[in-house]
Amino acid sequence: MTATSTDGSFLSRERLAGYDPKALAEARIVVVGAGALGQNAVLSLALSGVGTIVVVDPDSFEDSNRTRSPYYRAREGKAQAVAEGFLKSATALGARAYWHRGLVQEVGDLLAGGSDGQSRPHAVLSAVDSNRARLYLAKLCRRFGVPLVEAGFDGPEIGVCVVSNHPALLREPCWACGRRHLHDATTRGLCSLYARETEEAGYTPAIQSSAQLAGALAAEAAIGFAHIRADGRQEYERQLHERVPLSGHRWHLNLRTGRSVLARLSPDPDCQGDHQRLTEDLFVGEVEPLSNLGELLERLEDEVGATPEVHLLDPVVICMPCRDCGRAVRVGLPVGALARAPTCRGACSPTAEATAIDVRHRLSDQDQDLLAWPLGELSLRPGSVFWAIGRREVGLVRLRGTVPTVFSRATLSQQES
Amino acid sequence: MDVKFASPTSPTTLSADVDDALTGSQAIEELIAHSFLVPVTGRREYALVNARTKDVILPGTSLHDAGVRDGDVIEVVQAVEGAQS
Repeated sequence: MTATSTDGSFLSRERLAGYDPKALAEARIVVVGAGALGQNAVLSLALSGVGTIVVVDPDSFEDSNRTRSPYYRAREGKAQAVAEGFLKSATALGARAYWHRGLVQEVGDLLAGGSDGQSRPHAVLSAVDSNRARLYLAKLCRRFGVPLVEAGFDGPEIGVCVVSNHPALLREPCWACGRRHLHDATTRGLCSLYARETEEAGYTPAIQSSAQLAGALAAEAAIGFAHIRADGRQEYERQLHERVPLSGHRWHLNLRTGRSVLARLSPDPDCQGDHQRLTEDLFVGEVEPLSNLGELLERLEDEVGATPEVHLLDPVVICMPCRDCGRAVRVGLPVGALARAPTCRGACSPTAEATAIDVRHRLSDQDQDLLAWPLGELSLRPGSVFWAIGRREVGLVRLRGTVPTVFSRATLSQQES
Repeated sequence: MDVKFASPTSPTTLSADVDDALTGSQAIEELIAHSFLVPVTGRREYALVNARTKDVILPGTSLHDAGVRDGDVIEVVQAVEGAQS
């Protein structure tokens, strides 16, 4: 069967092996990291007929990315280029792509479901290079019960790990179980730094064949989750086993030797990952993103009663010393989003004293110095979720926000489409 | 108990008589100390997988608690961490 797309071209709508066209069209996949692996995964998602993706990445393309980047656009931001590339390759009618050029920690909560009830992704595909971001994504997906597909590669070695994070599967290990070294590991940082490192070394471990294969495996797992339609635990498990047999496993493959090992994840009693699950029944309300903390606290009195406090899911760095001059710089990012000490870029107040790092987890009207701060600078953005504690009630509150209102929507020019 | 460790990079195995209280991370340290494995840094890590059960042997779990039995083959996997740009 063929159908006419909105631009008049004809797209084949035959049923692809094992795929349900309706499930594909309704699929919403978040891809975090738009490097070699992320792009190859997006290409697979696009050609397979996935309807909606969200791409998050802070970097721009470097010349050295060319050898494994199907959506390469010299010097341009990766998130936008890949989101637009998805639209160009997409076979789904009315495909949509959204993007955010920045760290996933800035928009993280929204990836797990916004206030419209439509934003919740079927899976988050983690294709990031930073251990800090990987641990954050693992925690985020666990909290909100979103399936996580994590992939990586190094030369011909490929690894794919899949966890459902389904709230009913209480004994399912988290992605971080058994990976204690990650908590001590340093992050490599941005792509531009990595590009400089590889240029200096004259060697890059990233090759297209591995990126393509790892991306395809990750995409297939994400598509599998988009096919699951089940409420009860038993039926979910049955469909999970049928549609995403890699779930609960790590698969290692060497592209050149053909050696592969499939390993079942084990729950780690000493896991340092966050196993907390935040289910919908813990929510007590939603509020508009107000202009500052003082207004938010006032508004929260309606939700949870007098003297409300905001308890952040992830502590926020309020300010810390500038790495150039040592004076205090306002930061406003979750602890996990800070890759290095900030710089004031010459804008430090000359009177500000050098301070220690100011990290807050709890915000209340006792924090007089913060009441006028915009919520965004306290890491409270549209879609953010936090605990609200008042005299009457305790529960989770979400700041209203949806993917279409927070992320940029990709479009194609007339020539491209 | 007697087990065999399968190399991650070649089709060789190492037969060893190990204490069943040995943990996953201690086993890897021993394999490096006996030059069966080379130390890895940065993006790579070793992990152990019981070839019979397909279960990951956690770093802090003893071989006994991980269900390893006499005669089992333990696959050493060189796991890669993270995507590349």
